[in-house]
Amino acid sequence: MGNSEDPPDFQSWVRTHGDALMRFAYLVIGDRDRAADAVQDALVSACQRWQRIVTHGSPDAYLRRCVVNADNSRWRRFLRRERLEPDPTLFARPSTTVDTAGQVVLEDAMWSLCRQLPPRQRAAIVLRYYDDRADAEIAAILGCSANTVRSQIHRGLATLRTSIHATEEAATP
Amino acid sequence: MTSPDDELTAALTHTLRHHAEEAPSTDGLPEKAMAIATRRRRRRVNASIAAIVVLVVGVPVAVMRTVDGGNGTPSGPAVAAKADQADPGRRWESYHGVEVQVPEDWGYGIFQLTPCLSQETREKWHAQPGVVGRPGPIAAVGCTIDWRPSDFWENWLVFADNGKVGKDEFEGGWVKETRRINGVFVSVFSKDAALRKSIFDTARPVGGIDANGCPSDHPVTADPGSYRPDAGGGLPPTDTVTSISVCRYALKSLSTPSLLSSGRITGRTAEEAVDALRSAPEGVGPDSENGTPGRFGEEISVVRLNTAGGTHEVVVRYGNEVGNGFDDGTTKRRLTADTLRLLFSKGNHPGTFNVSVADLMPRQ
Repeated sequence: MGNSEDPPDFQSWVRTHGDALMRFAYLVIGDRDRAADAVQDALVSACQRWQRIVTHGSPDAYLRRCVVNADNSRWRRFLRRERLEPDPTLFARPSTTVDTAGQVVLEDAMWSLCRQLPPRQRAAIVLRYYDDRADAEIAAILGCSANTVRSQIHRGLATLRTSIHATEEAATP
Repeated sequence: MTSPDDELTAALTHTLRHHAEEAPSTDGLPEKAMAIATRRRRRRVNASIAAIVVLVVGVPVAVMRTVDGGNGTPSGPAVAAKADQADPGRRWESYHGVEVQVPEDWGYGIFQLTPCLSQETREKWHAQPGVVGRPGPIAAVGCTIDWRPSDFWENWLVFADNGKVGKDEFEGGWVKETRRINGVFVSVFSKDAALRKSIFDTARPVGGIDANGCPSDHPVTADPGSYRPDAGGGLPPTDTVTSISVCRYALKSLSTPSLLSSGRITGRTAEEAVDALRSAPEGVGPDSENGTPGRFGEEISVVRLNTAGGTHEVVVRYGNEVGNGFDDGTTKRRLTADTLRLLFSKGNHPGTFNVSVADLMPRQ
């Protein structure tokens, strides 16, 4: 019988945290099939060295980082080819938060713009505004300093802000 | 009142939460990942065996090297093993005429000049402070394209026959430093500059016999089929053997001298190894069915039993199609799993061997 303080075995961990990892992968990669592939690749690699990973104490951070690295190296070219352009007319429609239809439109546009961000900026933004993680945690996952994390998020938000303003202006008669 | 940035980030969070619900399901994913990992492991093992078979069986032997007799005085009482102790907590590693001290607790890996070395090339990826790697037929097998996070990188030292001298810097302060020493490219990968320096400070060329008691070249490489050690009455009594030097030599490498690796066995393991040698059945083999005499494979080993009165050698053939076994100059014996395990574990594990002896070889 396992001690409650024992590190989780691979299958138990995936059953508990796999959904959150998949959602993270999908938000970072922006494509269901490729997110599923990235998570599967990360899990295949992780299960071969699970003891080592849990010994280091953070399978969660390790696997998220594998997903981000996979996104950097493998998916970036593909996404560059398939980049989706937001429809500028979306921003010309009513977009106040009290307007449900307008909110959906804004979210669709925001989602499209997010997918255009560079992979590490996108990952930092997802970790901050979806996972609600602190700079230090994001830095540990992305393998960079907290300053770099703040810089990535700042640039990502600036890009989103600029894109929204630009498309709004372009779409305004 | 909210600022434009608050509105932007609130919309961003809402958008991400909304779209997160579209993520694929993870049903059955752990089982699938484990099945794929198992299949990949099996494929790697099969590929390794295939590489060994191709190299050992598929290439006719052409031994063209001339042996430097001055360096290769191999056997008999005239040559006592040089007892050159490593610094405390260190051990000697040898390759093609260069030896260097590494921390004693470092393990062994497989040659690969990328930071994935110690993480991807081993089935059992357990924590170890560092690894030593050498070129071998398994080099191209097992290192996948994805790099692990630097938190999981380990120190390593790799010997290579070619490379680029200098320093390559990686994230997290990790540095790969390569120096050319006596024609061998020695790379040390670590974020600890003092450790790198301390390792390189011990590196030195080997002129004759290395610190583990192995000649850097040996006449057996010029005559791998019929060379026999000096008879000297066969194996010495077990209790007279103070240590055993295990020396692996390349038969086809263009790099000279031909010593691939060396190790020294002492104490109870040395006694057990001598007893195991003595109890191996007389004869030769295992050999390939329908094997061709004269096909010797990539490497051969010499085991040197060091006593107060001198050194007794045993040639160990395991790459032949015909004629594998131990030869102490007086008696030829068949290879046995026990003996090979005691002599060829860890860094001295043969890089190639004939498929006919595969079942006897210790697992790496």
